[in-house]
Amino acid sequence: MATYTLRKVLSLIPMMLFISFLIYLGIELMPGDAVDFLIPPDALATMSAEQLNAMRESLGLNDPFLVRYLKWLGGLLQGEFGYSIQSGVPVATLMKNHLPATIELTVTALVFSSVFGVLFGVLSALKKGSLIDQVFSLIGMAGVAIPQFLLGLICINAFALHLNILPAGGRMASAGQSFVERLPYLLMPALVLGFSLTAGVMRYARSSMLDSMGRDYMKTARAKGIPEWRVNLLHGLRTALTPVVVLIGFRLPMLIGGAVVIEEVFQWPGIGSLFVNAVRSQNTPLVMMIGFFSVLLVLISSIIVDIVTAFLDPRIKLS
Amino acid sequence: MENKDVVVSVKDLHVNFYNNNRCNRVLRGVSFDLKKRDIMCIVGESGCGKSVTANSIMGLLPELSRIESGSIDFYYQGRDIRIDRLKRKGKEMRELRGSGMAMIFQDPMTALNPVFTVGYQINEALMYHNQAKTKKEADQMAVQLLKDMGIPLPQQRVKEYPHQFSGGMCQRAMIAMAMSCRPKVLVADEPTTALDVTIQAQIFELMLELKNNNDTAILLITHDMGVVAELADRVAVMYMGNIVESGEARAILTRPAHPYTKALLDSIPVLGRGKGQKLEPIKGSTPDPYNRPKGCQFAPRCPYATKECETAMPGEQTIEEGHMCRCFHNLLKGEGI
Repeated sequence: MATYTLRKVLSLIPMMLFISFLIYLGIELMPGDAVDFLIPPDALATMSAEQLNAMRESLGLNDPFLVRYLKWLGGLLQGEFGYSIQSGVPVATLMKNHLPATIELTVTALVFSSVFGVLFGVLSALKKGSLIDQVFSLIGMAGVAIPQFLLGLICINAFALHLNILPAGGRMASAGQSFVERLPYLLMPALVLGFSLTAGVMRYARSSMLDSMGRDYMKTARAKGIPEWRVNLLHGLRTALTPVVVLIGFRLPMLIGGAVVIEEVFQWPGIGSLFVNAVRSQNTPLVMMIGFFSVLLVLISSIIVDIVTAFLDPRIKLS
Repeated sequence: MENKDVVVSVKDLHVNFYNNNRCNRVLRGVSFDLKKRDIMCIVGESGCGKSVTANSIMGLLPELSRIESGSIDFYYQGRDIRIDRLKRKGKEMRELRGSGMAMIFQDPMTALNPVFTVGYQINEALMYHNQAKTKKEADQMAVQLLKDMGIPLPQQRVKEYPHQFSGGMCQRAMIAMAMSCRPKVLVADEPTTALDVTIQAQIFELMLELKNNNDTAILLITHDMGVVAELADRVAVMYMGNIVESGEARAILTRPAHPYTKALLDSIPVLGRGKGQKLEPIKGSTPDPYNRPKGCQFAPRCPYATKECETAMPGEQTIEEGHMCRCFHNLLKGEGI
């Protein structure tokens, strides 16, 4: 297990190098550069070519593409994340300010969707074809079909404007406030995001559980005379869980960049809106850093998924 | 109770399956007695109701099925238990399953849960039927059971997972599990179909030994006539939900009375008769269960069929001591029986 993990982690390095290069290339291929977005359009018209060139020079934008990439990489290796071109604020500070909000939101949504997805999915499977199964199916379909922003707006309209029981958006700064005080702000965005994520887990858990319930070993378990709940929840669920855990595991990368739409709708000061703005204004250092962490999380998730599945299913060997 | 040795008595059992608003009358009046220390074989083509009969006894019929009429009596610990009246998933039925009666299945590789150790799965049966008070005791018993089944290195093997076992070993583990509470009845649903022929012999030897040590009655479902010849005390031949012929194994194999039994026997190659032997496949195929023939179910495929056969299903006739046949033209008639 330890050697496996070590080998996997080491294999991350070339992968990260390659992917970061691709992201850098992507930004490079976009038309225009950061200076075009730094200066308001009316001011841009009055500036001379020399002035613009001097600005580019000072930002290091005139260096060849490869040189700039290697400089960025060199900085990263020294723990230097660079500065936002727009605001001059260190990227590390920006991340530190925005990341907790996003993680708070996505973790809540992920936990919510995983717990209820598995619960409802298993319940649907056990009561296949019943009213409760059909109701859950309908809710699940709605969760997939209704766009997040629409559901978000409907919820704001209902709970904030009409019922007036939850704030319409924003987030209370975490300093000095207890979690209970901050909860109302978190509730709506997290539940809207969680709702749309639940459906997938639910359908997956249902079909996986149904598959498991049809297996021969379930009959063996019944033939042993053990109680029905134990047959279903121990023999059935335990085997059905593996694919569901894989699905949930591959959702971990959402922790960083998965809530862009919801963050916009609910004015949630997370990393999503920061990222969108950074891409729009070709703020290379910021885009690179957020992209870098997202990719890292994807790769780490896949290692975690490997380890967890090997733990859940003895037939799978880590090698 | 007519006979002290009868363990399970099935009388005129009718079972229906309900599927897509259609009703499939799977069992249409099955009757037999299973006696202590007896091995009774049920033979027949696929889909004729062999497994359904076995599952009815175990209370393991699928969801959308029902015992319509008839009875299954299980004589256990001095009581007469009507299995057909028990709730399938109820407490009484559960207590019988695994302790009073046990079952082993066709494919041992899929019949064991892949994510639990073999020992754990044996322990479950022991713990739930109070054979072992503590987990430690159960562990020891599981090791002993595997040892009794002839599995080498049982201490190590109990901690292994089913995928680390070979097919034959898995079936031994299944038998260990089934025999863990010394059941009165062992239902074996084609236990060796998925195994090598050499392993088959070992498994059957094991079952015989266990039967003799524990007085267990065995209901063996198979379509291998070789197995029947080797093991069976009694044979019941099933066709489309009926037992068409039953009796002592020797009588059935050497002097089949029902055309279907004869056809089954004629379709099997016999070892040592060489390449020249003539195999007679049974003509046609089993009828659609939703569109059955009116009279005798075998009539459309039967070389002896007459008009009479198309009007009604012949009743059970005792043609000689302990030999039952449901045919208007039983083949032993000519012999004056």
